[in-house]
Amino acid sequence: MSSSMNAGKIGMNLVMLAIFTVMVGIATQYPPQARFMPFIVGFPGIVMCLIQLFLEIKAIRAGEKGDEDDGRSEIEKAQDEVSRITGRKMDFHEADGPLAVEVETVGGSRLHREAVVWGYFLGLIGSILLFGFWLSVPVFILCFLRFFAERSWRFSLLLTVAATAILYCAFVLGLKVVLHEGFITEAINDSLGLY
Amino acid sequence: MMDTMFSSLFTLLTTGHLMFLMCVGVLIGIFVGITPGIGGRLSIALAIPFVFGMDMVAGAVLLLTMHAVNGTSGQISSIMFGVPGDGDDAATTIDGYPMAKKGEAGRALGASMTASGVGGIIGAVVFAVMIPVLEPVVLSFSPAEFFLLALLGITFIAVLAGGKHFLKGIIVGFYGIMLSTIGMDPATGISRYSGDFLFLWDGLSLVTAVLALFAVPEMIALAVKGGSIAAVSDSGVRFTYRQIFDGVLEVPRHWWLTLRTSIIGAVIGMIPGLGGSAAAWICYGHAVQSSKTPERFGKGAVEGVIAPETASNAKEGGSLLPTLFFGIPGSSGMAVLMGAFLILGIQPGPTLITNNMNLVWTLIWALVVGNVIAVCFLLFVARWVAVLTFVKGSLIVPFILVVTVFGAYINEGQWENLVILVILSAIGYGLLRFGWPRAPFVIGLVLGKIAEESLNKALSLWGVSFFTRPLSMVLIGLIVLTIGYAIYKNRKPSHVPSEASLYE
Repeated sequence: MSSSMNAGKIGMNLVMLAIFTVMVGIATQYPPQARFMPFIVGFPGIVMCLIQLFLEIKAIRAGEKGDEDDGRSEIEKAQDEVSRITGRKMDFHEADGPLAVEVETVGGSRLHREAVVWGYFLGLIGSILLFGFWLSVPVFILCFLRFFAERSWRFSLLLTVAATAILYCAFVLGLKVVLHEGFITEAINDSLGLY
Repeated sequence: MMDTMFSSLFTLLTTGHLMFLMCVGVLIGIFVGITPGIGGRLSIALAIPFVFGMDMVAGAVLLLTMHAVNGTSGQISSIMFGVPGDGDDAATTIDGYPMAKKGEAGRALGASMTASGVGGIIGAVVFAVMIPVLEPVVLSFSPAEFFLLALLGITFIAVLAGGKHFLKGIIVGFYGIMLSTIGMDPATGISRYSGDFLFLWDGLSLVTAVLALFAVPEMIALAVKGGSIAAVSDSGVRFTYRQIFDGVLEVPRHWWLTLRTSIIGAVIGMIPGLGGSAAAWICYGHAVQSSKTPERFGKGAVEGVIAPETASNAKEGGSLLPTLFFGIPGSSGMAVLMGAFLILGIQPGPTLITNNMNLVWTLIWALVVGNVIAVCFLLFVARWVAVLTFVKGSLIVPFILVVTVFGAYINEGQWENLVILVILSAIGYGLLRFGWPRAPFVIGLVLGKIAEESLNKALSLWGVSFFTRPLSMVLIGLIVLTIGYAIYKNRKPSHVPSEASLYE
């Protein structure tokens, strides 16, 4: 197992531990009845997080392999599982993967790809907060399709226009939803006296 | 009861907009089932904003139909291309794909779709049969038991979803309960964890939390992983309607197996957390064990297609039972569905039996009618909808992300929910990435408020002695047994993979 995976596992434990600890800490300021539930959930939560952290560190030190690393294909796992259930040796090799499948591959390291996709997502949210839905959504879809999914400009534009039109019809015309306009858009509109 | 039963069916069939919503639900369910990367649970989470403000019966019928039929279409890619739509369909691949390779794709599809539809109908019947049995049990429950039931539900899901890492499951369940305490405390009127943020006074938005824990992490993982099917040979993919019809007839030919596996599936669905792929694999194993020629399995035996399909769809009826009557979702999909029901104003538990049996029967009939519509539709269009299997993950991701963001916003019309979406999505992605089960979170979040209210009521009625009530002691015993079983199971060396990967 890679060191980044190990660090991530410990990090996740620490995040959960921090959440419980902070919430229990804040709850101490509430009256007894209001802090009752946070306490009866939070204290066991903290204890369990500590136990899990200990187990995680112990497993990492022992070099324990994860379930995902046992080297068997899904079909082999299924074969072993059904053999165990039925008590008879099963042979599933005929169901093993279609021969002519080509799999779409994505380049770059996993961490890099994760950073890029998270960048897109955070960009979408940040952009919505600043410029509103109707400016951000088409730009996000277009950029994602063109640069991440590497589709042609024409295809990306077509899908962007279609998706935006569908969303507009569904949410604005259909559900009559008033969407966030964006802080900057609102300020500009205000200064131009458009309200 | 008979009056309620048939009047509900009559109302469902004669109300135009309910039938329209069912057809819409069937279409979306089929699309979701066959498109890689979108699970049933995710589709319900995404649909919640659209049903917000809808009449409770209409919204519930739409969501339940969507959820019930997406398993019916998932097997198309399993059989035709050897690519299971989700964990439930993996068992179908074992014999379905070899059948397609032998040029019997039509027969396998006909058998699997009919089996799936029949399984869904029998699951609903099992649910209906259990109502009079469970009614007195549910009505005898007091707030004390409902608090313990909530804990039992989280324990069940945590142990079964977490598998080897059941402690992680319980932690995540508790995390869900902890977040459910955000907002105004109903007992004291004190605002907890909300500070000056008015949007948090009503509590954390369930829609935002569910979308953040499931939709965003799964879409990011799909974009990161890539790996969708780009092309496949068409050998075995061509078939005629006659072959499909032959497949349909396989179900009545194997009626006894169909009935047995449907009932087993429905019963498995009633046990919280055990549904999903477990029902399909257990019934596949049962079909092998009860066959006179078990050596045919894995090489294209039609019984190997019928058994898992009936089971995985019958479990939906079964899992609706604990969800509606005890407020304990039978699966993570049901947990999201239960969250949606709460948003629609449907309160699971005894009040549903005393005040709203019409709705319960309408939902049962929606399962039956939805499955019939889905099977009839799919038998005709299977060969065309199969192309949806080739939709690339990178093309789906931006659209689902956008709908997710819309959903998180329009639920309460607060931009702050977008910030919450980002924070919870980061935690959700961490849980997904490092092998923590996420299903217990939804159960905790949904049941947290109910658990707290029940606990407060129980304490004011009986004080701490409520733990010594006979029914409470039975439930405490079950919680201890479940945890004890998990510890015992994990001490034994096992080659069986964790349920977490299957469940997630």
